Amino acid sequence: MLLLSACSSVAPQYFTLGTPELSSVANQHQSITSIGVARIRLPSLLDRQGMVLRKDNFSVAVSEQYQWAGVLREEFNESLVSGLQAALPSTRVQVAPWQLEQTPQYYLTVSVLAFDGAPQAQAKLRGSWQLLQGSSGRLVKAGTMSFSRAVAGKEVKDVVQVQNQLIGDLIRHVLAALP
Amino acid sequence: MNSGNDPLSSQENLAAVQVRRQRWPSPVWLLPLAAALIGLWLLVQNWMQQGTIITVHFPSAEGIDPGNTQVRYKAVNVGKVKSVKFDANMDPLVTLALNRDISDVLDCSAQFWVVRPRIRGAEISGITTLFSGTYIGMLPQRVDSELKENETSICYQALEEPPATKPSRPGREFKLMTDSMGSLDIGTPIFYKQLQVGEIINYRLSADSGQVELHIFVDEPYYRLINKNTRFWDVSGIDVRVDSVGAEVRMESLTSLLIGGIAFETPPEQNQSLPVSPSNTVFNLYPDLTSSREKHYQDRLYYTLYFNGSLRGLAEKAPVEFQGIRVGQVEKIKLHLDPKSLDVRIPVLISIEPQRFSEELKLAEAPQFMESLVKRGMRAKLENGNLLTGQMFVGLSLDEKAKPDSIAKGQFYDVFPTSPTPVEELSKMASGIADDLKSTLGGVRQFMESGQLDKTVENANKVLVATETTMTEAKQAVTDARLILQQLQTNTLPGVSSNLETATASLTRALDQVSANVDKVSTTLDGSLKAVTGDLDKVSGTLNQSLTSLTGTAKQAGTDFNRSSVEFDKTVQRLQGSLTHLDRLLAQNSPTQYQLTEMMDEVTAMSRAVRALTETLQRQPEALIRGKKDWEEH
Amino acid sequence: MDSHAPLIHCKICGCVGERPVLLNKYERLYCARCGHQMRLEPHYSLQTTWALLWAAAILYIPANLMPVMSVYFLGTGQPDTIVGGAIHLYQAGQWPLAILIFVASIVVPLLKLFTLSYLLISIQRGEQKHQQERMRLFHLTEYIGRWSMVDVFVVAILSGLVQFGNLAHIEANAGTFCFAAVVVLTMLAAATLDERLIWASVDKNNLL
Repeated sequence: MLLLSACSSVAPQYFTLGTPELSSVANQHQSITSIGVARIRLPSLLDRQGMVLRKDNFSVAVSEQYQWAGVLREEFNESLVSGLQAALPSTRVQVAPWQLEQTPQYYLTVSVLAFDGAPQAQAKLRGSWQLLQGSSGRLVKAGTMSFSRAVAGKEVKDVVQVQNQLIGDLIRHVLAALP
Repeated sequence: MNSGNDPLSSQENLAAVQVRRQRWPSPVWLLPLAAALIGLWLLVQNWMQQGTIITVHFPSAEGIDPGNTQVRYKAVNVGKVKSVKFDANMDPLVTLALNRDISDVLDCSAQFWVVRPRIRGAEISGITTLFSGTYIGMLPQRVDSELKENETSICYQALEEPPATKPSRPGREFKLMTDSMGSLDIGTPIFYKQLQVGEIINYRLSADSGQVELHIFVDEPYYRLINKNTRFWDVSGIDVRVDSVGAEVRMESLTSLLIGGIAFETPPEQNQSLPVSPSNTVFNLYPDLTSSREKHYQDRLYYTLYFNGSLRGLAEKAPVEFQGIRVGQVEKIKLHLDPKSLDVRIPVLISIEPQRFSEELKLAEAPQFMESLVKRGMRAKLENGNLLTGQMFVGLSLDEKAKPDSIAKGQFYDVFPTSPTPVEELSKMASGIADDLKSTLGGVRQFMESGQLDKTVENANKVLVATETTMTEAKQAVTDARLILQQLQTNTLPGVSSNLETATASLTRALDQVSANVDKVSTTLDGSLKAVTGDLDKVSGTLNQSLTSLTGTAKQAGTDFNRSSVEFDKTVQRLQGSLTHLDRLLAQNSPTQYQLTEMMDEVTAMSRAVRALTETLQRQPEALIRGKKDWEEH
Repeated sequence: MDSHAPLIHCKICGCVGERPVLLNKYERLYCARCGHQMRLEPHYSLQTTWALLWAAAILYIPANLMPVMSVYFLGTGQPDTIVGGAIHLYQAGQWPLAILIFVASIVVPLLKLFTLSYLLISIQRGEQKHQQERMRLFHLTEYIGRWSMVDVFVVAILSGLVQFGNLAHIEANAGTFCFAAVVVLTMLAAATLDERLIWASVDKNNLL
């Protein structure tokens, strides 16, 4: 793939998701000392270097020109973690993996089913999430997520911006479910 | 050119041809003469080579080909098989034609055998016969005798197997006695400091001792290391020893691992100026290094011991120990039941090596020595060797407080005095106490049940009630009497007073009697109660005693148990530690798990990428050169 | 002397002399000038032939009794006589070879010996009959005589080629030499027998 991309004539552009903008809700969740983000699960459709842009309900396009800077999963993870930290500044936010002794009080697992968009169309984030207790692994709360926002711009970077906002939506949704 | 003149006619020119008589025959006859001489010479030579013809009985003629199979001695051809027939017993009878040179040393003691491929012990012999065909090997026993004049001699019987030959290199032979061959065989190497210095050349079962006698051959110059203190032991396989100190593994060499081996050593402190053992000296073969190093004393004394109680846990070869040091072993335990009197005795035969008490003790003085020990109070006891397995051993101990005893003469062996084991005593005591308690309690119950107490109490009650009534009546009587007295004081005082006196006197007497009865009842009650308490005291006293002794032994057991439980604890702790470690490793979201999942994902992604590449190439083979076509923005 | 005495010519010095007519058996002629022993034509002595035949016959015995060739294969093998070898070949299933050996090494030499002996005897007895047949017999003997050498050549070639140490090696034994001698001697015997004697008129005196 690398060779093929090298052979291609167009230089690719790289994108990253960035931190979603969230306000702090620390006072609401003071009892939570630590929260962890376990491995995000992404569909294999998205597990590729090139960005996936949706053409219509049944077709997507994979771009060679527009690529994620890192691995999408890691980007998503990073975005989620930094968003959570922004929302809960006093809580220790941990990224998987962690040692047994450092198991956080709660941890979140996210399973993404769809995370794509297109310029001048909708950007969607769909999937499910689970909040589990760290010490016992017991399920505290589970839920589905389905967010979509309109993409105003014509560029791919606008899509990425909206995707960032979608992640912010997810975090807010999860925070609402925290005990 | 003749010109008519006939030269022949002139007789004068003709030479006179000489005529001579041939005296010798034509020299051409030398040829047949030479031929004849050659033939004759060959014949004579063949005849000279011709040796003797002998017939040998063979157990089996396998591999013997008449006219072809050769007879060899020390790998030199010395003859050939002429024919194979059967003898009277339908055993093969083989006729051999042997050379002249070997016939000179042949006599009836020569041995013959068939050489075929054989695998035996350390040696695979006769492999060459796979290629060259089997041959008959022979070994003339004597080199100086001649065969008697008869051409065909039928005094030979072939051997089943090639005879064991003493190696022809310099060295010396010795004999080793062992209980069983184990993995030893002819050819098994003998090691000294892990150098092979000899081998076993033969073995046989010794008829008198029931042991196997090994003939070994030790090379020059190693046989000079052998003197009467040398110890031989079996180093076959691997010697693994695990005990409280640790584990020990010994192995002599790979050869000995496969085919067995014998090693020897001469204890260093004792080998100065001891003469080298002569040929065929007999040594003992010990089963392993440790037992060879133990001091072995030849002298033994045998005693019979009689124990009461169960001998469970006592096995033959259990040690006899004195102060914890092994001085002998249990040889035999046999149940002896007298069918008439149904008397059960279990004599235990032990052997004691008196030199373990004192090295300088001689066998003659030993019985006296043991007797004096017994006078000092030495007794044999059954002691617990291992609480877990219940193994017992015989312990000798000097008991100052023992009843005086001596070694008694027994039917076969002397009887050594024994003292009962604490366990025995304890159980006896316990059963004794139990019996006492039972009888006392039974008596008490009987007493209670018989209703005598009730009756006594009833009687006492009655008596008391009666006394009460008597008392009230008496009171009444006294008041009446006072009244009457008052009345009579004035009237019939003197007569009445005397009657009153007698009445009071009899009343007091009656009261006395009543009190006496009450007293008696109380005393008897007291007495019986006291008796009961007395018994109970005694019982509790003995119980205390036995409990203290029990606690004593229990404490011992407790400390032992403590020790082992401490060990157990430690093991459990360690186990826990490893379990926690395992937990950490396998915990949800642990680094190990995470990395594992990552790796799986990578592998999947890679396989997908490879698939994509192949797909691309399939669709756009020119992509290799021109690059892929991108999607079009819509 | 008027009688035309026969003359004899010495081949060495060339002198010519009278040939004495009557010679007894043991008299020989020598040239006056050079001393060369002159022989009468035909001068082949039957003695020579007889001597050679006898030698061949004597040597034929050890040739058959002694082993001619030893074949050692993988360390094992044994020497074989002619007959033994033929028998082994036959037993090994190689009966054409066995027949060849038998014919070449046993039948032919014996035949030669007997034929030559018969011829010699017939010449010495002065037989006049069956001269054609005897002539043919002689030619036949002479012709096939050389083929007995086949066996010897076989032995020679094999023992020269097959020398692979213990794996396989072939040796020629004494019997071969004897047999070769027999064949050579019979060939010589056939060569020294002057066939003209078959046709010559009998004159015993002239023959020696």
